[in-house]
Amino acid sequence: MTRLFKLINFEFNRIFKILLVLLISVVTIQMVGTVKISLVYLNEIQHALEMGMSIEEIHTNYGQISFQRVTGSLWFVGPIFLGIVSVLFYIFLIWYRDWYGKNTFIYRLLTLPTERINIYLAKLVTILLMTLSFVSIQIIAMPLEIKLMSWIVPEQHYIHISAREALTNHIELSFIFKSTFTEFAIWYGIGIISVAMIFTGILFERSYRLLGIGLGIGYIILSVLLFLMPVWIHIMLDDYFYPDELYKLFILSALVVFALSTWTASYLLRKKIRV
Amino acid sequence: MIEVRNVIKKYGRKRVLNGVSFTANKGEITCLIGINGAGKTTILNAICGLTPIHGGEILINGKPLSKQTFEQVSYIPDTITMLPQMRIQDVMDFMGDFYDSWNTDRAEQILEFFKLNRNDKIASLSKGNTAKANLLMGLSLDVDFILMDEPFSGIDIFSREQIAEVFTSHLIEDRGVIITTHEIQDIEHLIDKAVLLEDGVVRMEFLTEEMREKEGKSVVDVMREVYQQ
Amino acid sequence: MKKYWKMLSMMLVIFLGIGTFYIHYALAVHSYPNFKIETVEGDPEMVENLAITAYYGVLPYASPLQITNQGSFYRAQESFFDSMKSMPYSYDRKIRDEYKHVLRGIHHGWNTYYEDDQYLVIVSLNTSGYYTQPIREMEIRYLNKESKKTVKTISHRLNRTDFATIHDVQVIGNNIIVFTIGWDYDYEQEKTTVFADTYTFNMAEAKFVEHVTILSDQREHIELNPLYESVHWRPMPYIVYRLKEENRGVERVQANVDPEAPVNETEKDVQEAKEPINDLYAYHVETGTIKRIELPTELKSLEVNLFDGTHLYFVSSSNDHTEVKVFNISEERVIHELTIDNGPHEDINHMFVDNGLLYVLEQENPPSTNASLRIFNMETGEVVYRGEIVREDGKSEEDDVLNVYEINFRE
Repeated sequence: MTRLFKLINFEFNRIFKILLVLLISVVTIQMVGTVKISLVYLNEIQHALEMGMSIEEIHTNYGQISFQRVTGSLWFVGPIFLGIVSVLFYIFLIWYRDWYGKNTFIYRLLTLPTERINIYLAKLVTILLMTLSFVSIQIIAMPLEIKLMSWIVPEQHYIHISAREALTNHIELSFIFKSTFTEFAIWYGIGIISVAMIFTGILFERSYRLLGIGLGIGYIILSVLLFLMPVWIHIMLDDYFYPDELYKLFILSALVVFALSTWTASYLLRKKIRV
Repeated sequence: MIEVRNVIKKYGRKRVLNGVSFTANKGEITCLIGINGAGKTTILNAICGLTPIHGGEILINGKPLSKQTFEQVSYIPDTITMLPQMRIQDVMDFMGDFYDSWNTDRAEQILEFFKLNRNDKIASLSKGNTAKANLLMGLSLDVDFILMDEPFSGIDIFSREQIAEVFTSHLIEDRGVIITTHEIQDIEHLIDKAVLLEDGVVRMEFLTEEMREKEGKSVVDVMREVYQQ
Repeated sequence: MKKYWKMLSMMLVIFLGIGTFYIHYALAVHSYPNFKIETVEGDPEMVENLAITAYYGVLPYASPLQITNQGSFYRAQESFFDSMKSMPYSYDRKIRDEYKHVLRGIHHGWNTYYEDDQYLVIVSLNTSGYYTQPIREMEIRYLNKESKKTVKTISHRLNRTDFATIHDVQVIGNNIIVFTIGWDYDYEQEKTTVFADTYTFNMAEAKFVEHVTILSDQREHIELNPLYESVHWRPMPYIVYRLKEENRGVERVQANVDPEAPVNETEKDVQEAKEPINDLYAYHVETGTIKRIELPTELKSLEVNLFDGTHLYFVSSSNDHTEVKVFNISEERVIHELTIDNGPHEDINHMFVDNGLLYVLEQENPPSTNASLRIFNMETGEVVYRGEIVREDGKSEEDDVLNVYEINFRE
């Protein structure tokens, strides 16, 4: 257990610097976007005032401004997708860097006096920590960004919305920010189980190389089918389940996929892996 | 004792190891000899569970590979196994962190012996010093067996001498060593047992001392007989 | 510990960020004020099995809740899995809790129910096949409530390929009668037919008996709708349909009107130009006969909004009062008239009839948290119950808005 914790710490430290840079750039880009969008709006208002429009006319034509203008823009969504892409990219890099990096660190990892599955779990937790750090930095940065806008924009043009309202009513981002903790836990739980599934796919490739690509893809397809099993049963039994029961079955099937993935990964790491 | 019994290893249709068997005892230096591609590295990898085998078995002190194995066997491959951005001190901390068998005193001695700077980054080390750092990691573990893959290849003459010196020092004594090489000259006088490999099988396994005394042949003499038949 | 500071501080950031986000939410949800129905007049038992469904707050951030005489519960306070079910005080939830196995495999949310002392019937319509040639299959499930477990199922494929929906189901003797409405477009004649059908099934033999078209119309721009009764699963002596001309027809007439004409004359012209169709037909479930309801002149201009199987309730509102005229279908006359006095700042948000009682849900306008429930005895016209919806903590905040919109029962 302590060795697993040490491994997690080690894996996390390997990504820490880049992660920090990414987190800071997410916040910076969004801050810049907030300022820019506020100023563009104020500019429009200024023009309208010069053209002799009254405040009411301006508000009917240009509307008032709320932070939703920022959340709807690329300035806000762009950095979030940067985060998503970097996590997706690192899911693969976290393994392949140990084989193809300048030094073949995988020798060391595989000859540590600990269960080899701990390597897999440590990498999994690192991906989770990385993902959650993006989510939490967003949650922490939002109120600050909203505050920033309220400083720039005069009160009469400004409509306040809370960070929660801006996040949970954002349709494109609704898959990242869930309104209740249960949903959040279920959603991210299924997310990390999918990562575990991909990890096992990668280990198939690392064990059997060319043939392993096929096996890995096959494994992933099989796992997805297994995960969707409740739907097949549901359809075959003529819509047998109630929605909440179906949801619970999905959680169950996700746990089965997770168990299968770790068990398979453990087997591959013990018996089939190649340096 | 490390027992390699009838090990078979295939890469696709090609059999790299075709029933290799030998033993390596504690307190002896066993040398795996063979031309490049004879499967020397594969055997070491197989002992550490770094590549799957397709037949036979490998026992370490009578037991198959487990996580405990790595407190008993230390592996020094021919590439460095630490991250380039780590300093030598970081490497020593890492090892101490993960291995119960890590011996800090010995690590300090070796650091001194090889004249390595603990603040140097792995990436900045010369080839010779990289090999020394690798040895530092492998030798500072209080393990029964040390596996070394081509410790002398591509290294300057002075480093070679320094490394060879290690074999006669107390850093090695009482332990079992399996070493691979394709150039026997440097270490011929150091080894206790030679295992000659060819075409995936052990052509000959003998104690060098015995061979010298009984038949008056050096390792190179025996190699000449075996490989040039 | 020094070695772990990076990871531990990031974990702290995650914990604080995500933790506060959801703790804040949980606190917000649990800090919503509680409401209850406080009896001002009448027997509190009258509202024992009833809940008022409402929204607290301003849309789109409003939170749905149900209010009883015991207190209130917010949807957001329910567990994630419970929130996937219907509201606690709803017929769907009740049926699911009591007869879980009966509803299995049936389309959720689009069912038509019938329930009396003896039988529970659920009908759903399943569509499969291609869009151009859909296969519509009616699925009827019923059970004798005494022997809870025996569920029987009849499947019946509809002959009509045109659009149809089920709107009611009734039981007469040993027969189940399913009511559908639909429309059909004839490409050759370029005409649309609207129709109302009944499908009869025999319960004992679990067999389809007959299909009858009880009403159909081919006039242009005509709409056929059933009147939805207040308690939709109750046994009903009558099923009532309304044939109504679509607005399009009226607009076309209006376009011809001289724009300079005085307003009252314009209205008159429209009336003369084309009398809008607003016919009511009553189908007597027991005898299977349909008749056109002859309305007295005073009711002709009114639209009927409420129906309980035997009576039609014609509602007309003016500034400070609302009049309800109760029309008996079999006797074809107005049997009661009732005046509900409501202030100019009170809107009637919901009316509901059941067992001879009229439930009226009123709300202050502009919306605040002030709302009330009154129950009238339809025969005497007297108020038999009056309740106020109050905040349990007695406080009232400036932005507090409670939007009451429905009365639900759980029997």
